[in-house]
Amino acid sequence: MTFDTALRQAAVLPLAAPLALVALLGVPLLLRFRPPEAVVLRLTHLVVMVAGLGAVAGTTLAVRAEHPSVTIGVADLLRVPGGGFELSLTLLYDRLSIPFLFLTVLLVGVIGAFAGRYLHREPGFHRFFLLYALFLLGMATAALAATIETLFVGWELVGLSSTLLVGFFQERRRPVDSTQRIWCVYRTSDAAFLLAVLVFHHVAPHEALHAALGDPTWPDAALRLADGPAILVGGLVLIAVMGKSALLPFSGWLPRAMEGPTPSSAVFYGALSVHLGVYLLLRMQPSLAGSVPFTVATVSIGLLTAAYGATASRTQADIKGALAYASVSQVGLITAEIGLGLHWLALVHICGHAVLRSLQLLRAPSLLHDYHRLGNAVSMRSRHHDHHGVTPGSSMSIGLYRIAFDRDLPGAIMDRIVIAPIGRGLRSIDRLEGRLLGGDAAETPSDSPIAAVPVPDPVGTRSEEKHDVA
Amino acid sequence: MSPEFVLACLVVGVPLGAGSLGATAPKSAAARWSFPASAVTAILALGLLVRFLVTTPGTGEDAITLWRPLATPEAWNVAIAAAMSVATLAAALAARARLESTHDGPAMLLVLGSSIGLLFAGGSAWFAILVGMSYLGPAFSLRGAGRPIWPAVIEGGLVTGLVFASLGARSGLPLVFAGLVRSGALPFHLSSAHLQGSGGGSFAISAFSVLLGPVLVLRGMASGLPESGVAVAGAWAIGSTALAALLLLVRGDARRAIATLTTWFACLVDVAILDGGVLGRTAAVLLLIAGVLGLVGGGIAIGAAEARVGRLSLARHHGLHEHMPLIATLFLISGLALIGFPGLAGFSGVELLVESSLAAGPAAAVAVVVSLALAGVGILRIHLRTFTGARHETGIDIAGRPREHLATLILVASLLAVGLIPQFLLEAVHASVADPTVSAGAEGAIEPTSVQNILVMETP
Repeated sequence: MTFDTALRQAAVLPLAAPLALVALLGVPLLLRFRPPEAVVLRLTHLVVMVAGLGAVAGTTLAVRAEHPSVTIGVADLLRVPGGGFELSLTLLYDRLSIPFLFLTVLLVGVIGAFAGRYLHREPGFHRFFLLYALFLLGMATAALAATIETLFVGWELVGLSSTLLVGFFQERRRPVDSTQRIWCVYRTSDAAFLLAVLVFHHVAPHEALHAALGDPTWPDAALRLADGPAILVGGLVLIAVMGKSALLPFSGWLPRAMEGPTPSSAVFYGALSVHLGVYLLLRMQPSLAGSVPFTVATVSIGLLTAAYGATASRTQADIKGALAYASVSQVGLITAEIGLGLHWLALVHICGHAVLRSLQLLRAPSLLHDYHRLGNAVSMRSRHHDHHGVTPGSSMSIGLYRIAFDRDLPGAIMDRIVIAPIGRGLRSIDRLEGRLLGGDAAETPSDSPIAAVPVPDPVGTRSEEKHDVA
Repeated sequence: MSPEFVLACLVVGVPLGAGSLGATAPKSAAARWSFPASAVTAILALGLLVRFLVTTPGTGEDAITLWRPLATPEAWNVAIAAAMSVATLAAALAARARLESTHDGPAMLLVLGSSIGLLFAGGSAWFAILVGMSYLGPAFSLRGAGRPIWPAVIEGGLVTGLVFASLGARSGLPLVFAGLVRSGALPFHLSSAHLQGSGGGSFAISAFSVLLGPVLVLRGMASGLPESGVAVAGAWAIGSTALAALLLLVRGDARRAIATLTTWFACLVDVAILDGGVLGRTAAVLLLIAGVLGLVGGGIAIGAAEARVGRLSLARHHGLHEHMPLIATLFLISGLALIGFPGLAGFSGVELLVESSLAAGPAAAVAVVVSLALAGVGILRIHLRTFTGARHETGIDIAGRPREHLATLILVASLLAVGLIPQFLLEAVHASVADPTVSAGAEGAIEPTSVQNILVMETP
């Protein structure tokens, strides 16, 4: 076995190791056996280390290659005999995927160590680490994807694990409602992504899609779509990115995601999951850059989101909410940078922001604890507690304050204009069918996801969060 | 007579015989029969499937006569039959754990037998009779639950009439329409919901019953269809699947939600078949396998929850996760399999469906993708409402029973096995549903394939 062959085999470890962890943690749970926490933690640490070694091996291979870039065919997941359809698991180590993979392994490893103590003796300890393993698998798959189908598989795994972690405290109503809401946004995003792939297949040959995603010369593009197709494909990709990366009008899901335990908020929403959308944009943008409308739309949405996030983060009453909106603001800026073609800056921005935000979110609970202890020691409250740095003045600033204060205002507007009328129509059909079925008529809930995803009353939310924080 | 043919006869005969005896036996005996009979059927069907996956059996007799009861089995129908047998085994186990209505056991066996009989049916007249017979199980279950049977009688009469009408027709249009009615296409989703109303083991019964609709459509399409007929049927199926996905978001009752999920899925499979290509047919068969396992899994989970807390309203959260975490997992995995989540049984089928729907037109592709997204939202909603929320407080033990856990393990293992190693199944299914022209030899001689063996309705 040559050195290169060994490296090629080791480069698959970032996927193989978390897959093994999913099996090692999932199968005992199905058999109603809960391994001791120490065993779970040791396995998790081992898997992250092995994944890291695999990443090093893949990077070494890529550095020794020409571009530097290397593609590794792992397996044919689906292949219809005689052609027609092919889904292969192919990995790409290049200048974009390598930093993202290292970022993933590093942050997931740190959070694994943190969560072991944070969730000690929590009833959902094993469930958390199972979803953690699934998340690592999804992120590694998405980061290393050399084909759009592989990226979609990783995208789905990340979406499901993230969503279920929001509802980790499943006995409480608000995390569960947030889970439902986030899943709605993610499914919208998934559908847009899938449609983008279909349209891409329709307007360009099958190989072109692989060229667009697995181009070893990134950020140069081997394939540039013409203006018309680029607008269509770019529009759908942008919707997918808006959903996954909490850009306007989908920004509201990120603060909701903070209902999950702190480790998951830090690694999944503050650092990695929220950047997966912009990672896709970073990967696809060179092929779509020829379209001026797409560029204008990307930059506009990015800047609007940045402005909204920055404003909203200054009015939040809880620290995790404020950090969530701060993340929204930074991701908006990253999107604008990508739209302007500043690929390297965007990549550095993603890495820096992810690390900083993870640290802030992990520090948040103990910071509050320290703050309260300090306050008790000196028998006084900080002035910051009362004003949050905003002093209402003119009618314009009051209006701005209200917009920023109203958590998920864009979502509420979308609910009122689009979703509520559809929900009313569907409930009427449901009631009619219930009457036709006689005894089978069942009550139609007023809070079904399409009818009215609960948009918490800002005042109520604020007071409840204050209570939580206290 | 080939060994495959003998095995196929047994796979049909054992559940039909046991179900018929069980229906007339004393209640205590009937309740005990369903599990061993479904276990034997599952073992036989899996044996037949393994034989198809590891070897390439001969095609056997190719001549088709009007009254030939069984055609030579092929990979596609054997795979669906095996999935049905495994799902029935799990449903029987779960039903025994809850000591449910003694009518459900024999009814499940009757439906299983007639469903597999339909899959393997050779002659068209025999096929039509089996279609009629397949309504006996649901009617029997409804009667056992003390519910009116007239919706099953009306739908059964219409479907059977259309199938008999197709015997003299030049095209497969009546058969395709019969299939759509059976799939619960608008407005026939109401009769499916009515059937689901009896609860318990009838979730499995209803799932099989509805999923036979796509089998009729498959057979009708193979008989030839005018282009306008395909367009009308396709629009009907797409409209039905889209509306079902939307209604899933507002259903207030778990049983009706499961019924809606079943019709959504059956109509989605119809869309795959009506795309017309080999890819669509392959997708349809793979989806049917996932659908049988996933819908029965979902039905068992909801049935188990209902057995604890009564009829489930989705207007509130029931907080059953702590009592039955494994059953909650079963529902989630089953639901995710239906929407084609990676690594689960429906993934390969959904991927091929999306690919083939693009060939049928951009509108069909958009409808399929949006419908899948909506159904995903609806499935998670049912899961969250049933299993999460404040813990359900009770003074008695309502934890899952060992038999229910075994049923869960069987279904989860099947969903994962089909999802993680899909290639063997895909190759076998694709070869068996391939277009006859594909296998034409160098001299233009067309090799007999399953399309000729089983799907084609001969004209008089």
